[in-house]
Amino acid sequence: MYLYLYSFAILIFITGVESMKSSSVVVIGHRGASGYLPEHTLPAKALAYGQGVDYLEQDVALSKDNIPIVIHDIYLDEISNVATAFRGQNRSNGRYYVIDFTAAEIKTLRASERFNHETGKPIFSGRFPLNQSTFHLVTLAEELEFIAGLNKANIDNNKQVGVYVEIKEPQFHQDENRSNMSEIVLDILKKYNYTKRTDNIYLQCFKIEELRRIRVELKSDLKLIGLLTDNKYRSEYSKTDFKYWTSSVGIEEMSQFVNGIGPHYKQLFQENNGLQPTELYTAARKSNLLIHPYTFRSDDVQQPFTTFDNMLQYFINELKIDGLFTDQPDKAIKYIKSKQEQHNKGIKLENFSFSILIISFLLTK
Amino acid sequence: MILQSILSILVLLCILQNAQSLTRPLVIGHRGTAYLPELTLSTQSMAYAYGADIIEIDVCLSRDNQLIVIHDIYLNGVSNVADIFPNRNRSNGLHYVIDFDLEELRRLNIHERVIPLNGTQVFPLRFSANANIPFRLSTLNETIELLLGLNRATKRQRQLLIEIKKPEYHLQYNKSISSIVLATLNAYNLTQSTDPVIIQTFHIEELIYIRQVLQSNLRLFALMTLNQVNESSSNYDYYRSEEGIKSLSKIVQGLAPYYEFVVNYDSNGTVLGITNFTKWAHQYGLAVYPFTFRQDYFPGKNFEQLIDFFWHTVQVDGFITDHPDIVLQYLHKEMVLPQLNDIYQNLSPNLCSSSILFLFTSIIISKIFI
Repeated sequence: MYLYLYSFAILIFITGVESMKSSSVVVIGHRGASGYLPEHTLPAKALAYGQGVDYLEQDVALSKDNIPIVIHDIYLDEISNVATAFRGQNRSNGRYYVIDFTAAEIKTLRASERFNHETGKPIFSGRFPLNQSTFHLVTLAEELEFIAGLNKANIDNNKQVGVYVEIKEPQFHQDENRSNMSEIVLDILKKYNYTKRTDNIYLQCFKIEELRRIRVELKSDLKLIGLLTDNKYRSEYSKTDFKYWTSSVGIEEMSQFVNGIGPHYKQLFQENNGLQPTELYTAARKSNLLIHPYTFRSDDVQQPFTTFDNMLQYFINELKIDGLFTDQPDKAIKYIKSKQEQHNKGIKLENFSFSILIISFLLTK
Repeated sequence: MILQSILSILVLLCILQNAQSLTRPLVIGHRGTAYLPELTLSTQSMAYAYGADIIEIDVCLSRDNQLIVIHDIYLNGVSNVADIFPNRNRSNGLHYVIDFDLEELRRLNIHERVIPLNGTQVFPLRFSANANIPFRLSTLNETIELLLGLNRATKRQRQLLIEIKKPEYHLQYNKSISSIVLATLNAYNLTQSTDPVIIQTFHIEELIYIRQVLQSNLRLFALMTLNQVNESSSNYDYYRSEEGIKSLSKIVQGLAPYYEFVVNYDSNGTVLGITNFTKWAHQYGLAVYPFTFRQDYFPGKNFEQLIDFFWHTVQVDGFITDHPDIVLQYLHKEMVLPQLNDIYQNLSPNLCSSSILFLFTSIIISKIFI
């Protein structure tokens, strides 16, 4: 009889310990809630805020008059009507560059859901329809003011959302004689009180050398995230060697000036008798770096994952990543909350069973 | 045997204890939400995110007959019109929407509501009226496209409640605002009672006109307020009586009364009881959606208690609120179905093993004692 009691006590204990390990992953609204509204528009950011993100993401590129615009590309022609509004003002490669237009001109454009600039077709077919309603692009300062205002209006709700800024293509901007792009961005961040590592902000960049410059030369105290990709996918203007920066040696060097990495999620696992973490993952953990992979899209779940939930399950519960970029924050948050509730219910049942066991043990003595 | 019966009684008690409601009243986001300047596309998106079943907007006409989404017939409460068009005000100092073309209105910057000609923010704890952000006025077309686009992208069917502002005032300018609204909705194929739009207005006779003369099949709600506010020429003392409500039941599907019509208050704001309004409305098949529930401006001391009272005692069918997130959070907390959904649909290995362990422990104990 006591054998049964002891073995069940051990079983309960093991399951209890297992349940203790809950996750506290941060959810970053990738270009806002871009799964539902045109990326980087204020409504997309408002939607993400309402869905409960921890951070809103801002990619920035400079306009002709050196004003940081919130936009993912250095081009305007896949997310706006620039090709009709400013017909002919493209470069010889046919593309329309942000840096060739003033902020005032950019603000007159109609922003839209992302489309292929050659075919005119949307990239994600099930999302917000093209050419519907009216949206605009904003400057970084305007978006920071927007978020500050929302945070103030939500103080009583205990709801504060942070910012996650990406400095886009510093090498390209340097080639265009704007080597001070980071200084310009840091200045604006300072105006909105984002300067310290304790502030609710992350600064990210694909040009790892620029992050080192920001930390060492510009002496910034902000939390920095090294964005990573594969050399074959990097921008045509980039000279960064990601083969080096994703190796153990590279990660160790990076950890001297960044707080975390932002890899593509595919760089974190390999298929080898099931799913195993990669050298990159292990190196990042060893150097105590945060891991914030991109991008989790419920309308683009790829092999070996079959559903959005099982993709989230692998990264959140198995790899235990620290944060994730998603186009559909509501779905990611719903997954995390339901796991959290089950975890809590599990704990309650555990404790209840355990105490009954102890009581019966004592009673039979 | 005993153990099984004890367990089943325990489960039953848990369910009964939580059995408040299986369904909940609708939540209508009044002008979007309280957290961003009213009626902007951003605040409507936020209302959508918070789960509002219906988003409420107001429309007025511009000089060139475009439907502008704005609450007042003048622009000074929510825009910088006095700076952009300093000489276009009327003698009372205000700039009227109907004196401007759409192209001019597009140049304005929209902000959180202030007292016109004074500049003081009406709700001081809300979004700052001084923020330098390019919010703009939108047209009814843009608002409909936002809702339909969001419905498509999220695979949901949320709705738009369109208030036609001051039809009698617009008629003075030879403009039939209701006809223009119906024509706009028609272009989007929004014509039937099953479509996700509802029309409401304070002028009851205008609703009769929309239903009987313009022959619309859309759902209609009758807004009602105190006669002394002079919102329209309708006599709300009559329309809130049993006879008035009965006559309305032939024209509209719902009533949206000022909340004081459905309860009795004393001078301290304490609720004394309910009126017959809701009883009569339900008797004649009409839904009741009182306005407006604001967490930063409400009668009484506890907002949740107020919601609960209107839900269970007054038995309203929905809440018109500036804070759809707060109202929905409360309603969900009090419902039993979401909790059951949680347990039975999202079983995880951990929860399973915990439940099994619990059962095993109970069986072991029963073996010990029996």
